[in-house]
Amino acid sequence: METSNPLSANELFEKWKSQFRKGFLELFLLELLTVEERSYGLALMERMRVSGVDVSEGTLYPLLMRMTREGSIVSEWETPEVGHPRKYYRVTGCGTELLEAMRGEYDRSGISLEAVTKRRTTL
Amino acid sequence: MNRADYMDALSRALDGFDEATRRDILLEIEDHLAELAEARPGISEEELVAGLERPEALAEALKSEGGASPGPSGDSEKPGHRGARITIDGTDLEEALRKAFDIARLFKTRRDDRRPSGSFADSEGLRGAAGAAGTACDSDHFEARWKASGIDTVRLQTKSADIRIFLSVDELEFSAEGCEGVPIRISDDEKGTFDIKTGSSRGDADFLELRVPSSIPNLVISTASGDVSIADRIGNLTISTASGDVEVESCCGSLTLSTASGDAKISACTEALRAETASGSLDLELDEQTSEVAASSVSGDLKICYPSDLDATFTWATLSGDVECDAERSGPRTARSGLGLVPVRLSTVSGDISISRL
Repeated sequence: METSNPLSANELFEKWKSQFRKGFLELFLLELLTVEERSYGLALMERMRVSGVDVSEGTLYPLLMRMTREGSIVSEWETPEVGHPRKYYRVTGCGTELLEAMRGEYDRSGISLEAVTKRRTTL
Repeated sequence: MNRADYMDALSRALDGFDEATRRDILLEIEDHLAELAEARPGISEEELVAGLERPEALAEALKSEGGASPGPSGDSEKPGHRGARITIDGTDLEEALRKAFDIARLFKTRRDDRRPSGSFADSEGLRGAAGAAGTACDSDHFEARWKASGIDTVRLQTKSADIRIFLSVDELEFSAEGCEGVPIRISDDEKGTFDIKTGSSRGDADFLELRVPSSIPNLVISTASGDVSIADRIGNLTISTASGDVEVESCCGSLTLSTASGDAKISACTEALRAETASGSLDLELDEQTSEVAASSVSGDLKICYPSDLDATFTWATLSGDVECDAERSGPRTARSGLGLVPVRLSTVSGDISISRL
């Protein structure tokens, strides 16, 4: 007999995905900003889309804002010769340290997952 | 919903944030929209905006992730603002300003009330002959004149001498006052560039006067701390100063201007006008024949006056400056006068912007 859980598998997946992505996107952004050295909102969005990670403005800008507040990245305004000022982001020393730790955790999680699935297939 | 509606809705939805953070966010999203629009010229504003996160949802997400403190708060920390720096060409604003002031101090004009002591030479043959070796003035007054034919660009460079430019009928005429012992180097090349350089680390003339005929297309003036005054110029004009102030009374041609801390007052410019400054103020009086204007500053104020018969579209962007505009608003950051044909683009970081009819 089915339980009274009102959520379908699809809805449950969406819920899990949003939680998973929150952590993943922060790691991804730190990696991206480390590679690019510095970048700005729209360019980051475009770069992420090309890499297969689709984010909306409503996800990216709040995340950039939180990471700036927490100190893993910093922002700086630049006024071009003529035209619109642009806000650039780059990774701080704290951000680089955080990224190292995140990579370690990400790799460990992957290995653990692999270990479990491997055991299942060999059982 | 068009771009302006989107920005309006976002601005309203960001009401929980303090003013500085709100402007910071608006300016960032505006840049985002501007670049999107540029990248996809075939798409209408409505379609472009439809592809974005709804403004209310974006504001909500910013509030929950960004940690806005709704209502008045005792917390002085501004979310999203920590670590923000203002830079000019990659240099810190503070650093850039310090440099500009250093240069100004270095070349501080030494004014002694020596009277000009008559003509130094009639230098018809000086052009080319003086070469790179230059001439150190042995008198307090120097003057020379040259035929203008074959000259495409005149470049005048000084350390601290004040400069005044007039129109001449057919020859290029130059004079210096208070220049005893000051090197004056004059040279030209095959490409039609005619160079006049005055001053050294030990000092500069007090005052230079250059009369340029309209047959010379380009005039380029640069000085560290000298003030530049243009009484009359027909042809293109480029001026750059560190701390020197600039005044242009009349220029029929395009004008490009940059200063670090110098103030500029432009009364008439008939073609494209581009002006930028770090901390100086820009005071621009547009002519009905002005074809294009772009002015930007970091902390300096921008003041624009326009004639009532100018067909212009004003657009502006500022991070924390105040904006006053008496032209008819056509969006949150745009206004129009007449048919709106001439683009007038203004941007500052913290300087105020004022747009008013003459």
